[in-house]
Amino acid sequence: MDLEWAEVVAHRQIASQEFILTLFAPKIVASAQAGQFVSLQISQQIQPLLRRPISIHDVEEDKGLLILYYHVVGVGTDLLSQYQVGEKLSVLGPLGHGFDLDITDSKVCLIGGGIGQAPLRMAARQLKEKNNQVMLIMGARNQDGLQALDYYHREQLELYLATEDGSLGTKGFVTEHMNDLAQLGVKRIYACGPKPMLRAVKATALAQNIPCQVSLEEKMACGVGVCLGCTCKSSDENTPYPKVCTHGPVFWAQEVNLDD
Amino acid sequence: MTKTALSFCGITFQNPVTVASGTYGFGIEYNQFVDVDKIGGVMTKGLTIEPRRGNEGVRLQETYGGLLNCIGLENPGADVFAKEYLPQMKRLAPCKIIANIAGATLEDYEAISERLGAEDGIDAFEVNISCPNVKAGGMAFGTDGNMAAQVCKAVKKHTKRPVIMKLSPNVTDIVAIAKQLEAAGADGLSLINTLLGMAIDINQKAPVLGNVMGGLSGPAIKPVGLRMVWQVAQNVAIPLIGMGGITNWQDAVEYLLAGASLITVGTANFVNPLAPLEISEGIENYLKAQKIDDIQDIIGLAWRK
Repeated sequence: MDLEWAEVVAHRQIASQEFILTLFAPKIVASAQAGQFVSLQISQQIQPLLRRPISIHDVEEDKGLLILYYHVVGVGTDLLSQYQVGEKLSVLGPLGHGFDLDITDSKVCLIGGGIGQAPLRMAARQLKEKNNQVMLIMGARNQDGLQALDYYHREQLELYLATEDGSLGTKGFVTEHMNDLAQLGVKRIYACGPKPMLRAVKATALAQNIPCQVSLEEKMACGVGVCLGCTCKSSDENTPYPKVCTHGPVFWAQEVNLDD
Repeated sequence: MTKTALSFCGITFQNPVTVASGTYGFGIEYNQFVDVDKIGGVMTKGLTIEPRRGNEGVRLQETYGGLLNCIGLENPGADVFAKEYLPQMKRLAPCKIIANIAGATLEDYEAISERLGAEDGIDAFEVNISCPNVKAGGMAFGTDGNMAAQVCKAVKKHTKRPVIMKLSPNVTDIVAIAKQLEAAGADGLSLINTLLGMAIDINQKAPVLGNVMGGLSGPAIKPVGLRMVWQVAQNVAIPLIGMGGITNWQDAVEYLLAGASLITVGTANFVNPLAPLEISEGIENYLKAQKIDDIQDIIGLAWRK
């Protein structure tokens, strides 16, 4: 974990509310793992007051580049979207526990909903490097939310798309593509997205007996496990509430209770 | 040579900057990239005699210039603290260790001060009295001078270390409570704890926080904390630790001038974990620029001159 002043190397708007931000953050990049996140200090003023947690989309280790894919949802990300190339911002990271990528020569399925697609690219790349056959199911409200797919197309990965309005891919949710994962030979699932989606993925994984990891999102203050604010529910009610920032954001699906 | 080290309740702090309970864990978490040993003191996460799971549901909400929280005193309990965390904290020396303790009954306060009262490595106790007294209808101990005084005496009974009572700002007359605590034997006072507040989600049309209400901290509350330190400092003889919204060295100097001997950085740590060190440096530079040789000389200067 490091605190680094990172320079904006590139900042690209890819759709109405979606941006790709590339930062030069060599210390953080050196130890970053797929599924981890960073915490950005977006303002030096008091609004927004807190840092914002953003998942790591990918890194270019040899160049020290940290790539973030984010969606403008409020004051913090709106201000972030105004950063120009050459400006610097304080980055804390890498934070949390990433995906368990200890799997080789297998078929794996990555499922992303909305901005939950963000942490999956680095995982997809590393899983492919480990000779796994990577399949992806990506969903969003509309086609604007499916504009960060270049890497998957370029690598010719097996990609299934769904949008709620039918503007790209199948009309509906990612669940449309999850019925036969075991039959397709999928040995592990990695998922990130809204809670109802994760609930459906977890149910599918259990029903089809496929080990599954989910990445959760929660409001955070510190990002490092001291404020104890970002809790989720454990499957075991007798244990303390897991903290998304340090115990997660990635959990094995059976570890967490995703009910509301 | 500017002197920023000072004695507080007989303990020498290398500088006047401490970090607030619940914002720096046990001091060891940030040690990966912050020289925590250079901080004046660390107030531990609030400890109770038994482990506590804390509140269910949403625990945080950012507000304009502030942060609402309802963590609910989640902590590993006094025993685990003493066995697992305290030995690691001792390595942060010369940073002082102030154990923040809490309870839901008078007996709880007795039990935890008995358990930790003589524990090697704890330099002082800071007593949270903003928690509800379950045997008095849930009214916070800190909102009643008599109840607060009872807590103070209960803790004092079990420890020879300095006992610093942490005042709640959610009261009508903070000076009256401060005086009662001084009379009850408190060695020092911390002020202020968080202000009770809430937020409502306009789409869900329901409170945001799982616990409905939470404690407000951050820059938004600084004028309130400063005012209370100003009032209390002029009415008690025991030393004060000032806190509430301190974000930079200028805020800290204001608190010193108002009468605080030590200052505590809280919510700002979440934004910038280096804030305590930067504030300490800022205070020292201020003293040099003002040609003030000893930090003691500015404590309460705003009303003493």
